[in-house]
Amino acid sequence: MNLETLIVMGTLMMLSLCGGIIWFVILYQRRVIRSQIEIKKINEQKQQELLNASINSEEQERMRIAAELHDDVAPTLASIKLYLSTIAQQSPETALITQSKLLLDESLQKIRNIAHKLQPSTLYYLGLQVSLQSLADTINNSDSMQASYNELKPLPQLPANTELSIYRIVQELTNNIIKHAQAQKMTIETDISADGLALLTVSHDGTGITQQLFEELVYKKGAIGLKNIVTRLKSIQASIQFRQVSVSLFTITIQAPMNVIF
Amino acid sequence: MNGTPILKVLPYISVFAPLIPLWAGRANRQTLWWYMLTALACDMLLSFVFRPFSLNKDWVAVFYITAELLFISVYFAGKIPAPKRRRLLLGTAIAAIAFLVHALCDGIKFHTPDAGMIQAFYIILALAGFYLILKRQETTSVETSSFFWACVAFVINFSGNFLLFLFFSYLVKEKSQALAKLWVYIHCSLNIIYCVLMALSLHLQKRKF
Repeated sequence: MNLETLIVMGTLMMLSLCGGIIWFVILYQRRVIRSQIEIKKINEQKQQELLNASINSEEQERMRIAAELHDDVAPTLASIKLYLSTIAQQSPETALITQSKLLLDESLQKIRNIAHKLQPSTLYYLGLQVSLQSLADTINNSDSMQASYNELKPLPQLPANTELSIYRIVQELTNNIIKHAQAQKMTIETDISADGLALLTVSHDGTGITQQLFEELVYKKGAIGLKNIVTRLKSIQASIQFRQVSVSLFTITIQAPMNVIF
Repeated sequence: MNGTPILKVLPYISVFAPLIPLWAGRANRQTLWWYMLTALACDMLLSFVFRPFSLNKDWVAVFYITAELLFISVYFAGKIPAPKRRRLLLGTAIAAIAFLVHALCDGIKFHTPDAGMIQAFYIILALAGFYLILKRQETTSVETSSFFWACVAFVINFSGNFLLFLFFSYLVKEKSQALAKLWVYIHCSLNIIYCVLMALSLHLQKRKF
């Protein structure tokens, strides 16, 4: 075999070896990517499970407190009121007894409201739309602002966790609007987007925040309410968008998939 | 040469092949771009000035090999961690000085076995580059990495040319006809592939502007 042939064969062998090395690098990298994606997926799944577990336990705790208030504290106060009435029948009713009865009535009402906020029974029995209507009515009755609920497209029955999370987020948003926005009017709307997502829009005519400000506030110390909103959004894989439509119109839109189940 | 068109055309394509990476990387003129510009300038000088006028072309070859060594080393130095970078640049400087001293000790003479040894160094660098790519465990596909394609270009070009350069001196004395053919088929073809791969690498580099 002459030298030229040897050089050609040697070169071909070296090139084949290089080809093999390059092939190995590409295949190995693909395997690494696959395993990294799998690890990422598992981590996300674990995080989602933890998030859901924490939200679930928080809800259970709320329900327990609401039940205690409703079934234990409220009847006790009612009994005290009954005793006061009995005392009033036995001896002439003094101003102190009347005052005590009024305070007891007020306390009972407050306990009922707190229990209702902690455990929105309308949501469990009548669904999201009715609960949102009830929330708007409650705000309206408080005389703090005019609130209304519009159902642009009827939402189907969503998974319980989605409905609960959306309701809690709206509760937090409306509370914030009442506390900070100095709004006169507020509207809650539900709709379905073209790509099949549940849309919920809260709009008001007060001083609102933009998306940028929301993202800044979320990372600040405190702002527990906003952090809770983000956590609940994550748990149902939903998104939120804060917009200033005009000088005196701010909207907050939540987009949630309709088939997420814990 | 037996006069087949491919043997006549390939060397010219090979000379102008660096135009492809120069065009691909025009928006981001970094080390590899200047390296390709040097390659084009040296190849054009050799092909259109030194060879037709039978001038001593060894000094162009010596200049090119030294410049190539510096460009490739600087390119790799930018990709490896800092402590190893110093060692690489020191090794390169020593290799460049040794190569120049050997080339200058009898006038200016281009020693192809020296170039072959330097090519072995590039092959090692390219393999180290592959190792770095695998070690980083990035989640993006390796085919989108500019560094990966540069390593592919180096490893293919230099391992393909390694044996040819190693036996160049013997072939030029004993079998110049065979060398001419091997030069065109191996060196020129690999140079074209090298330039295409370099173009891909330069194209994938992050743009400055």
